[in-house]
Amino acid sequence: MKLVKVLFATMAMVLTASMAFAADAGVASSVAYATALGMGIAAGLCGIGQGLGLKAACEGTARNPEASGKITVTLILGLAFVESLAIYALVVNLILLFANPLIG
Amino acid sequence: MIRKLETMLYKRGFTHPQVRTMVRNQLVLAVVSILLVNALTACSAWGWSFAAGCLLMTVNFWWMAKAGQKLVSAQRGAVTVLLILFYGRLALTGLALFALIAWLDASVSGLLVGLSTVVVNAITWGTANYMQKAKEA
Repeated sequence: MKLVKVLFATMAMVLTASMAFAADAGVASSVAYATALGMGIAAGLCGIGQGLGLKAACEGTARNPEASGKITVTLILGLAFVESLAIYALVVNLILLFANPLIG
Repeated sequence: MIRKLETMLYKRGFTHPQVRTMVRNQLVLAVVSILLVNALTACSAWGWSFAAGCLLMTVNFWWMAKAGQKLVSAQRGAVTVLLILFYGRLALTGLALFALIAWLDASVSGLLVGLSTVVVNAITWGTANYMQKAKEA
């Protein structure tokens, strides 16, 4: 079942890509869709990651308030790492939209 | 110089010593790397893009560290801090990146290297701490 899903998804992507590359307007619209999808996925997953980190930090501080200092530092480091991923995704999407090297 | 910087950071609300050290390291890394890169590239477009990315990420890290400190310890006003500092900061970062890429034609590689300075700082800080603990053990 999983294999069939993957197969259908791949087919859909390949067919859409061939149609999209048929004309310039199609390429532009497919790039717009791709960036919207990419940013949505990146923001959603980074949000989940940051939320999990913050949840664990709050739980840890509630259980052991004396360890809040160390937890805060680790939390900030984790948030910085996750957020830099979201910012990288944003940069890539902005490049695709406004400075796309693949479209003349 | 470093002590003055630390005092300034303490006055600005960075009460936690380790968080203060991280922010201080980021500030020093940003200033040194911007000067070095612009000296090496003779203030080229790449150098300015690097500087823009570096400054953007440093400001971002400053506000995130401040918010992170308050989020864990503050009991009142945490929602306001979360909304204003977190989402406002992200929106401003997005706008700044949009302006840099779409309007100012910044060098993408320079921008990305500049944006990575926070990651470099965090990895260095983590490695240094790990080495220190390993030495003590």
